[in-house]
Amino acid sequence: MVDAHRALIPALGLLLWGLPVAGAQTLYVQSRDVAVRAQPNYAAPVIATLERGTALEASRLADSASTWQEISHAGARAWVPRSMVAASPPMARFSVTEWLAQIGRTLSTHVDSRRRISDSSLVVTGVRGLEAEERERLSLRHDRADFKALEKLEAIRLDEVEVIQFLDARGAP
Amino acid sequence: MSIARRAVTRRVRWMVALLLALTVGVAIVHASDARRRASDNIVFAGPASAEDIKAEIRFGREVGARVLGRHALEDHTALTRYVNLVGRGLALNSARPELEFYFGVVRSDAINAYATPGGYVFVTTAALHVMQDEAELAAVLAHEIAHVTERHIVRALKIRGAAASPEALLAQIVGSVGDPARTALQLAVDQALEILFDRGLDKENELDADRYATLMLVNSGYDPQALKRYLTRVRGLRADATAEVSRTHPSFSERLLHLKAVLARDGVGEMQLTKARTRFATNTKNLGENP
Repeated sequence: MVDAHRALIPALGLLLWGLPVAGAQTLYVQSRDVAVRAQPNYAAPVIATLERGTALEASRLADSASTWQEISHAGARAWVPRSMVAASPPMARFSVTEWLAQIGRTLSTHVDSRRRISDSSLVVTGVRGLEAEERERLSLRHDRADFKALEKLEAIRLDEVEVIQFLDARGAP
Repeated sequence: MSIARRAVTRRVRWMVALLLALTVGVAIVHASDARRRASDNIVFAGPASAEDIKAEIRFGREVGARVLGRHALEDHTALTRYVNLVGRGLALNSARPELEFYFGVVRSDAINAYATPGGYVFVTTAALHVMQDEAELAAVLAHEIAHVTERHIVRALKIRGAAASPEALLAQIVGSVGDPARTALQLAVDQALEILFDRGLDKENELDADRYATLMLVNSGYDPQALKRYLTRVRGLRADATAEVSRTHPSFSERLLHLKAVLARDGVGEMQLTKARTRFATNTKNLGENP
């Protein structure tokens, strides 16, 4: 009987190992807003619309092949598109143009001093996954860069309100 | 000990053994299921830090500038603005709100579109000529947005090192100084260009991007059949115009078959949503001119 009790210990250990991640998971809306549906189907009625950053409770995470993420909404089961939620709160928009203005030059020559590493192991890091033939082939590439054209593209200013108005003006199917 | 008592003891031992076996079985299933769900959580997780995002954008700029070195940017302000309105409308429904997406039209006879990490998306003039409505343009842009949000190129780079993820490794390479770092960065940029123009991504990545694109269309209010319609039309065009897209993507037949399955699921294909044909025609009528 003593041996039997000892055998229970690893079993309880396994149970405890799984417990910390077995509870409800909080997810956050990443898209501008998300339609919450009563069934995992686009034909199902929309029961609520939640804004970016809203926290959702999921009892079970959908796998990456799923279209839908089941959540708990107002005490009932509901579904949102899986591709519009994530486990972390949404990050603030990162402005490339502000970043360029801050550092005062094009990023093609910019180096972030906080991440400076001057280590020849980086070359090893960079090529370790490559076969000799691949390295040889890549060394023959001579792609010209046009940063001026890229900066022209980055200079386009569109605020979110304008984009939403544009979407709303599409009209009926 | 009496015979009766021995029998009871034996029975109790059997029951304890059975209970133990059941407990261990349940514990293993429970623990592995919980860990599997935790690993799914990794798929849900965003980038680790602002530094990783900066590195992704800087790398994407390096690759994007070379795309524009190969194919000139169509210098057409109204058209570029229109394509950006469509693309940014879609990006509002993506899971990467931290990225500012940029969309450009590039001059090329190849019917194709390209995306570089960090949010730079390019569609060729030849592809625009084939499209018949805004939903088809949105479909192509959404496919490229999916490559960015899923970090397909960064994950396809053959870079290995001590860092925990390809993203962190890329950040290490991009954020470093000196000749070794420049060489490593150049190799990564060259690999990305080879993926875009010659080798292509894995078939699974491309089919996934088609699926995400179709769902993004629905979530954004565009006709979910648009990508299927566009690919069906492109399949029937002359081989020289489709050579690049055929070389870097799964066959049209395979993509269309996969899309058929995507549209058949979850009520997606039944949605009657906008094609915005007139607006597309108005905004692209001067394609090729430079007002």
